[in-house]
Amino acid sequence: MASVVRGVVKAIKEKGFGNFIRELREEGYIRCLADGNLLKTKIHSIGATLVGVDKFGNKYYEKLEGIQFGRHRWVEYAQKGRYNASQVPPEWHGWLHYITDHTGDELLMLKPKRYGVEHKENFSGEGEEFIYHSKGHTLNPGQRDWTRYQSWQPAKKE
Amino acid sequence: MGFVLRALQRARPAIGGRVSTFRWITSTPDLHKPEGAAAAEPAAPEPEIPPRTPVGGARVQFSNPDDAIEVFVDGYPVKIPKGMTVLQACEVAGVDIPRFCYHSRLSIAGNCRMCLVEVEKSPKPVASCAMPALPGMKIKTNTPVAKKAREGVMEFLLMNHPLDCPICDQGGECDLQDQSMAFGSDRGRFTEMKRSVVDKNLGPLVKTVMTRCIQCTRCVRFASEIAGVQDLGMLGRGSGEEIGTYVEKLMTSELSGNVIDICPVGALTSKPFAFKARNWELKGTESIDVTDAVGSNIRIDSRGPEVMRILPRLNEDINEEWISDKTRFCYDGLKRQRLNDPMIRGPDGRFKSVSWRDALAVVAEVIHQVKPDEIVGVAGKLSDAESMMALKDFVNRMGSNSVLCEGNGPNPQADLRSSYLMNTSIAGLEKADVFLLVGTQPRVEAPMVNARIRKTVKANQAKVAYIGPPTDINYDHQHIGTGAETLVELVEGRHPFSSTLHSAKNPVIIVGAGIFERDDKDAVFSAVETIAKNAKVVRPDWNGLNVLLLNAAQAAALDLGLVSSPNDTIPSAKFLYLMGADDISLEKLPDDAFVVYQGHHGDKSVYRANVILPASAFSEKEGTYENTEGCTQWTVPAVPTVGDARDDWKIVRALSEVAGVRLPYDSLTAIRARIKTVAPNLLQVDERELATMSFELKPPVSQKISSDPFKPAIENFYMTDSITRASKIMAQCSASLLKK
Amino acid sequence: MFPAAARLAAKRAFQIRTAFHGSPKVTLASRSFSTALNYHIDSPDNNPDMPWDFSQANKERVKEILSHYPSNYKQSAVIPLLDLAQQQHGGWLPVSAMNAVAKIIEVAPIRVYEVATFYSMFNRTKVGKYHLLVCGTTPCMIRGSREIEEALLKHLGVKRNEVTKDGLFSVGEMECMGCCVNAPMITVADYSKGSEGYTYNYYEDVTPKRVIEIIEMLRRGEAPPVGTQNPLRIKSGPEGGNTTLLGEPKPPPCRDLDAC
Repeated sequence: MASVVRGVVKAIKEKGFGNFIRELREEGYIRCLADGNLLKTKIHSIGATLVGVDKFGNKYYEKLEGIQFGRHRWVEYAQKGRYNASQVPPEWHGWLHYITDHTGDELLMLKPKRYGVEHKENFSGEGEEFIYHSKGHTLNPGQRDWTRYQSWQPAKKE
Repeated sequence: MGFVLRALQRARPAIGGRVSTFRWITSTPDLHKPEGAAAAEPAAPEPEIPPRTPVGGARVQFSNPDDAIEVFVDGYPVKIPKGMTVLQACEVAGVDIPRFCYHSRLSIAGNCRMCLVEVEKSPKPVASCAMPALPGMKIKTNTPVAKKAREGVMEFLLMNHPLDCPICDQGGECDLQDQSMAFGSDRGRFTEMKRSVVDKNLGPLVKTVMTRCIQCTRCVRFASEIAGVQDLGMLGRGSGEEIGTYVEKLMTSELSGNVIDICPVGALTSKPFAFKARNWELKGTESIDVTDAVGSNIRIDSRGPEVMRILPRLNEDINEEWISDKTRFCYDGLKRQRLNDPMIRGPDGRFKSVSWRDALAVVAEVIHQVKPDEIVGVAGKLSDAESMMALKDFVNRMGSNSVLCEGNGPNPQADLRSSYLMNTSIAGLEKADVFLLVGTQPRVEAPMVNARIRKTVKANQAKVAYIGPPTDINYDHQHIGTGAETLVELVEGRHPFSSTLHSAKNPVIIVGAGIFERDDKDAVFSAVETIAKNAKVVRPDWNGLNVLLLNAAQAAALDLGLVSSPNDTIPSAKFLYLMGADDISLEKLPDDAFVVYQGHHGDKSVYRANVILPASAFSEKEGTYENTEGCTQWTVPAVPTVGDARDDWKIVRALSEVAGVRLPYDSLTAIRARIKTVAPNLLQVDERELATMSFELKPPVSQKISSDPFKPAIENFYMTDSITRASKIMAQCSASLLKK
Repeated sequence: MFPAAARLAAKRAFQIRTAFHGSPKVTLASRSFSTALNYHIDSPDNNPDMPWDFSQANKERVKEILSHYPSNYKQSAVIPLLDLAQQQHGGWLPVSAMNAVAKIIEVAPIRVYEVATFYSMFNRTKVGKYHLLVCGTTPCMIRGSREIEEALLKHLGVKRNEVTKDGLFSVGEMECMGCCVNAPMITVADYSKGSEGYTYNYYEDVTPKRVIEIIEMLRRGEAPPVGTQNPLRIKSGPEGGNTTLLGEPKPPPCRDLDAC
């Protein structure tokens, strides 16, 4: 705890108080007050190795000593307000879930850039526009015509 | 995932020798040494196995009881006639042997090797489809040897077969898929590149993905043996072997759609059906076909309100398991040009949609304004018996007697059923040894009948003589004339073919229904009857005098007595009720005649109609049809009717009520009870009512035979009725396959 | 914080890259397929509309060939007739020639195509007047058939199954022709003189130098000596004369059963 206070004092000295407060907000320390999960992650991250940062800004930490094996990797999401597991891009997913020891950055270099769509987080529950309704669904605006035949048009006279 | 492999390679020495000797590819361990496994089995006496029911209703017919032999299938004794193969014996014993190349209606090829079984005292597994069963043979179908053999064959077959089931149209009804699930291994050892084969263009009906082909040659054999077109062949050898035509050539057979059914994999699939639906989404409805007079048994596969495809249904007496391309691919016509609202032609000559109430009121008003004998009802070629009965009753109650069915020609002779039916029956044609085709081209008029004739010609070396316009007949035949004068020669015995006909054991004469349209048809028929009498074609044990009808409604119409002559009635008609009649000539119809068109397609006659009443098509209604051999069959609704359309008989019944002559039936049962009083045979479904009366009761005719040559009854095989004329697929076929 | 992480990640990635760069390239397993197409493509010198018929002299031979078979099994003559047609047409079979054969033996053309595509000795594309076939089966390959083919192709300046510009030579591969004792060997199918002077000769025990001499002799119109090209061998005998079985063969010991 003492080291934390020392670090804080040092940072204020270096950056000035305004900058320090802004950084605190950006890094989500302010939100920690309301969000216990985030606070726990922050505390967890003390002394851990930052293994990488993905293109969304999610930070991936690893700590090998003094921690239960299998809980030694975690992510701090870039979005502090609303975060969920689908924000982890596929290249980091494997590292994060102990599927591989290669970090996302390594995998990105190995992966041939030939196909695949950009990772998109899951927006379920975030509003109507993100919901896909299959064709024929009541809420799908298109495909309302279920006529499967073509009627004879009387105007077309021979 | 290269690094995973590398890691494994590195790790392997560390893990120890166990991993390197680990069999990555393994099948059921106890099958590795089949001989050993077989020997290990206790040699105890075979347990009592209860008799099993034969596969797929396999029937055994002993032509000669002495020829019966006994074989043992999995220990169960079964009696079979001599000459049956091991596979057939197993089927009789109730064991289904997996197979790809074997097809009961085709010659035996024995090249897929899937049907390997173990036979006692045979050093190797034997291909059961090609091996004749011998007396006392002990066949074992579920021993380790047989299972291992099948597994191995399956692995070889899958070597070059692409794993594209998710994008394959055969997926879900694929023999290879099913059998690899049942008999194959769960993995293969083949790691090389699979071969690929150039797709062939076989025309607008059959889609080919030749890479999927497993070279069973069923299609080659079907084309050359049943369809009679020698187009397909097996080209190349070894792994380069492929099915093809070598030169750019379309498959110009009227039965080509059947290769889709017999192909055990997805190499030949339906082009119109491609990527439309999966077979498990479809609802099958067992119905019958109405595009020709054969009444082929079909299964209408539908999804929701849409007919997705049509498949044949087994009926040994009518269509075996084949159907013609017209039957199979006409279904898209059911979705186009449909009449879905009652319409009335306004004073400006434009049609306006109205309600049923208004439409019927207008028709009822007009029908009372004309004289009773100016009312004419015409049933179309797709009409069912119920609606024809209702139409006849309605017109009769209005005081007119003029009801006819198109295609039956002037003055149809309906007094003797034998004079308009195929008396030999379609299956009975197989017993014939001489055919005389008079003015009929069965290949276009009734492909299923033609397939029977071809089968007979191939099997019995039956002789065929043909009188009619030059045409393409796909079996050996003599073209002995083009017109009636050849008939006269045959009557007088001057023609060389007379002797062949006279010496024949079971001669068959088939007269085309195209003759009905001729003015001298009575004379032609009496000439044919004389020939039949001279050649003893009609005997107590054999009736070889046949009429091959053209349309599904014809036989029932004649049974029900829709026998007015269009030449007499139409020119004087003031009120014409067309019930789906599109091919009747309306040229002589007076201009002030009021025409009601009741039907399902906006086809030819709609343009002359004053009122349109939308009716349902054969896929949407229950109806009774009688085919050319006199077999009564029912259609069953597969999909709902379109728009405001109603069943034909219901429309007539409703109209009768509005017109004040209420017909006394409100249900199908009631109308069928009415039909029973007129033609009881129409109620005996799936049965052939024999025509018992001989033609010799006919009164003598005084007509003279004209020397006009016979005309082809059908110009375009692919477009004969309102459904097929509306079909895009049929239009493509006639554009690409009929061009000379 | 972030730059440090990025640096770290980049360093790791570089290590991986170098590790992979050095590893041997994995070659995809390839499978060789026949190069001959099993379907026909129309070309000016090979299309079904091209008229083709047997020559007058060959018509006699056709009749003679057909006489070997019962009249209702004419289709049995398909292979001899196709061979004759190939000899007449300079070593290859255009589709119209196959149609002509089909007409003679009264079968559908596809049945003839099936046979012609099955047998690799029926060429369905143009070959040279001298069609050189190098045996590629194991014994010949061990004895250097690859080098011989290479020498041929290099000398003629063509690829396999390609015809030289002057239309004189083409090189193909043929599987075991039964001369393993004299491996390696080549065959020369000589179509330069039509079906009358058609020859099909084996040149055995060839070397890359000798095959080029043979080609040059053929080009000059000379006839190279057929059979083994090794002057020290007599036919299939060993080099320098026989070494074994020189005397009378001894009878087997137990021929006289009573003596045993």
